[in-house]
Amino acid sequence: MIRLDKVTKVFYLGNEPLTILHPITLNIKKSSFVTIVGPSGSGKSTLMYLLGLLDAPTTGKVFINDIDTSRLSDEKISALRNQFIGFIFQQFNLVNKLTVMENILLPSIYSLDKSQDFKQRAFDLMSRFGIDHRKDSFPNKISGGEQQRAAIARALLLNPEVILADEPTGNLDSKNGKIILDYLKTLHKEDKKTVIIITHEQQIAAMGKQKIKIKDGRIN
Amino acid sequence: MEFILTTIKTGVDNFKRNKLRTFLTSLGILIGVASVVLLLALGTGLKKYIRNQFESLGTNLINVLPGQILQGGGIRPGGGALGGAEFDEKDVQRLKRVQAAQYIIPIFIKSINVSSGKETKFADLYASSEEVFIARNLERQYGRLFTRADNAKRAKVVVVGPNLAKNLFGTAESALSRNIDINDQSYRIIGILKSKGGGGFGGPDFDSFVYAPYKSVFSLNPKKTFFSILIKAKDEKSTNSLKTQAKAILSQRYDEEDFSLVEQTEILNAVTSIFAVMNSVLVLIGAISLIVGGIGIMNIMYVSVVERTREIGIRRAIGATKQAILTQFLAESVLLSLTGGLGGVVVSYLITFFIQQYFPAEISIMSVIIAFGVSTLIGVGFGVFPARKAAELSPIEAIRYE
Repeated sequence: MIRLDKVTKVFYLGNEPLTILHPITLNIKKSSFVTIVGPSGSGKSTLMYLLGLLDAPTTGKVFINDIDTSRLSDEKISALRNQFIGFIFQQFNLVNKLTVMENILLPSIYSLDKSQDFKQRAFDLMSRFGIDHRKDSFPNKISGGEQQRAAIARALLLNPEVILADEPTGNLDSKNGKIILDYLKTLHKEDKKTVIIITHEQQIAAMGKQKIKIKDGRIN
Repeated sequence: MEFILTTIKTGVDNFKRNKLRTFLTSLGILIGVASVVLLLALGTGLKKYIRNQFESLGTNLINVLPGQILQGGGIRPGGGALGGAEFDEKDVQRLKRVQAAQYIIPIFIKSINVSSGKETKFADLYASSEEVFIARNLERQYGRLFTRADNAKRAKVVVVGPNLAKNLFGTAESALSRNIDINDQSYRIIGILKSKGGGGFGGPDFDSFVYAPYKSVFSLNPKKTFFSILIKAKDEKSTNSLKTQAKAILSQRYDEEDFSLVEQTEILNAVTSIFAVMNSVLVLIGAISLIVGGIGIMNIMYVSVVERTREIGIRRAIGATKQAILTQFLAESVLLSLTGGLGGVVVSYLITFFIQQYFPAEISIMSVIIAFGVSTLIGVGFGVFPARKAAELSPIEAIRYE
C-alpha cells in the first residue's frame, strides 16, 4: 500500500551534501503493524516524513496504492495527508489556541468531503479515548497523556487507512505510554488500520509484526 | 463557503487574542482611509457649493469679455488692461440684433471709495442696465431696484449689497434713502439687495457691490466703455447659436483674439477643474498614509507568520494545502485592513458632521465604496507576501519550529 522505491534523501549543509537516507526500498502492506526502530540520527524521522508525504525524496519514488506521489500536485498530496494518513507526534502538536474539540475537528476544515457529521464523530472519539470531559479545555491545561489521546482522536477523525506515529510515547511517563501503545494496538487489531510506529525503544519495536531497523540511513 | 467562514472565524479569534496589536495595526489604515474620505468630502462639498453659487447667479448666461479668457481649459485673466477689445454702447446696440438673446447687459466695473460721511470703504462699482438684476437673480430686500428710466435720465441713484450697506450704516435697512459719496459725487441709495451669500470661492462677492445705472456713472467712466457684456439666452438650447451669431457680429469690428464669448458653465467648469486638481493632490497625500498603514499590516503579518510557524506545520500535516494557508493569512490581512477601513469611514462621518457647520463638506457614497475597495486592495497587496511566505514554509521545518 505504501511502497518506497530506491528512495534517498540528501541535505546540504552549505555546499556539503549530507546523505540522510541511502537508497531504501520498502513495502508496507495494508492493515499491517510496522515498527521502524533506530537510534537518534539514524534517519528514521526523515523516513517517516517521506512515508507521511510531508517531504519529498531527493531521488527514488514513494507510491501510495501504486500511485507515484512525485507526480501529484500539492492539492492531491495534501488531500492524501488529510484522508489517508493520520499523524501522531512525539510533541503531540496540538494547536494551543484551539480547544481539544477544535483540535480534533481541525482535519475536517481541509476535508473535501463535508457530508459527514464530524462533530458526532469527534464526540465518539473523545469518549472512546476518555477525554470527553476535556472537550473545551486548551491543550496546555491538560496532561501529556490526555494531549496524546486528543492527538490520536484527531488522527482518526477522517478515518484514515494509515496511522503514522513518531515516538508517540517519547514525552509520556510509562503508565501513559502504555495506554497510548494499547490504543495503537487496538487500532491495528480492531480497526484494521495500518499502524506505523517510529521509535528508538527496542521494547516498542518488538510489538511490530513487521520490524524495520534503520541505522545510518540504511535499513536491514 | 464553510471554509471561508472557518477562515474568518480563525482570523477573528486571532485578533481577539492580540487586541492591542490588531487595533494599532488597523489604526494606520483607519487614519489613511479617514483622511482620504474626508478630503474627498471637502472636495465634493466645495464643488457643490461653487456650483450652487454659480447657478444662483443666473443661468444661460454668456459673458463677452475682452482678450482670450478660457484657453486650454483654464482661466487666463485677460481684461482690457492686457489689450483686447474695449466694448461700448455701439456693441450693445449691435448685439441686440442677435435673435436668441433675451437681454444684452453692459457691465462696467471699477474700484471706488464709498463714503457715508462717517465711514469710507473700498468697494466695487457694478454699473449696468436694469436687466442685470433679472439675469443675475438679484432681489431687493428694501426699497426698489433702479429702472430703465433711472438709466435714461442718468439719475444719481444706486442699489447696494447688504454687506456694504451694513458696513456703511450699521444695518442694511438704515442705509435706505441715505446719500453716499462715490469718488466725491453724491448718490442716493434707493434699494438694498437680499444677500446672495458666499463670495470668496471663485465667484464675485455680490453682497458688497454698489450697483448703478451705467449711464448715471459715465462721469466715473469717461471713455464710456464696458468691461464686459452679459448676454442672457432665451433658453439653454439657443446658447450655441447665440454664441455663433454674437461672434459674427463682434468679428466685424474686432479681431477674434480681442474678445471671448464665455459661457457661465465654462467658467464653472474651469473653476471646478482647478479645485479638482487641488483636491486630487491632497487626496494623493492622504493616500500616502494608506500605504504606510499597509506597510504596518505587512509587518505584523510577517510577525504573525513567524509566531504561528508551528501551527502552520501542524495544519499542513493534517491536510491543509498551500492555498488554504495562503487564504488564511490573506483573509486575516484583508480583515485587518477592512476593520481599519470601516473605522476610517465612521471617523470621517463623525468629523464631517462637525465641520459641516463651518465648511461645506459632503461624503459621497462613491468615496466610501472606494475607501472599502482600497482597504481590501491594501489588505491583499500587503498581505500577499507574508501569506505566501506562510504557504511556502516546508511542513517538516515548520512542525519542528520551536
